[in-house]
Amino acid sequence: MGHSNITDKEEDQMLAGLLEDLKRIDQAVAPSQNFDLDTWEGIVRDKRKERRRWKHWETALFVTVALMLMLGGGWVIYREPLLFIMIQVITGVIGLGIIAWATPKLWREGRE
Amino acid sequence: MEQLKERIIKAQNGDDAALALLIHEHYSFVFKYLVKVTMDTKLAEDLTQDTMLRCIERLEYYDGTSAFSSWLITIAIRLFIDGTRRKKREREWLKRQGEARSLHWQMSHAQEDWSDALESLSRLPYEQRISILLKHYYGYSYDEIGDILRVSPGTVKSRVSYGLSALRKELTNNGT
Repeated sequence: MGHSNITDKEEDQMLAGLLEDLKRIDQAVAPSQNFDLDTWEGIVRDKRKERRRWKHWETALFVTVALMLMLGGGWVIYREPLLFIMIQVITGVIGLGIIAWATPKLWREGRE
Repeated sequence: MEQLKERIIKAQNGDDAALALLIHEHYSFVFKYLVKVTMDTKLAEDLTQDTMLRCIERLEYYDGTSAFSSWLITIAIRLFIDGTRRKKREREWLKRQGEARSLHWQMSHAQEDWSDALESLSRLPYEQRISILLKHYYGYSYDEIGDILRVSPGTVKSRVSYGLSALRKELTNNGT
């Protein structure tokens, strides 16, 4: 028995019929816009050229943003050394807190 | 098979002619697959071209773990699903009515019958239609279909099962 009170035989018959119909679709339709080989080669060449250009731009943008961040960071350290020290201290405290939180079992075991 | 592998490697290494040949040879296969999924020859044609353009862009990521044709089908399905999700439900319903009619017309033009089974298949939700096509027409396993559709094999199984059940019910109601 299949599903919804359908016997396996009935389902097989239905599927066989459906597959035949689908095969007929394959025979009846054909793509009308498949270009010839030369055209596809031209499209591939153009598309790849375009992609290479985009990759260059992406790299340039990445490097520019990285440089700006580094320069901005350097500028903050130069202009606001106190802020920089504060950030370092806060980060250090948070780091120590995380280490302490992650190893409570070891600490307790050591105490016992 | 070996020739196809060689051609893919050449294409991945930047040989434009090899990639053009790959696309040209697989175009009809992808188109016919999409016609059955969308039931619309115009949409299938557009999606086939989009699939081939995506193939040019992403060929470097093809790792050969699946057949090249399966990889193309995966791209085609994702393009179709993404496009379908973007449309509003009402517009989609209207379009689906037109889609089936356009293929219906093409079939009668080729002196082929538009059967009740095809009509019922065109009415199924696309997830079920794709699952049934991939499982029973193209012979993929549930695991492979799951990978293509990015769902679990269990979900594919239930989509196939519900789809077949709906088809059977509709065909029984139509008295076939």
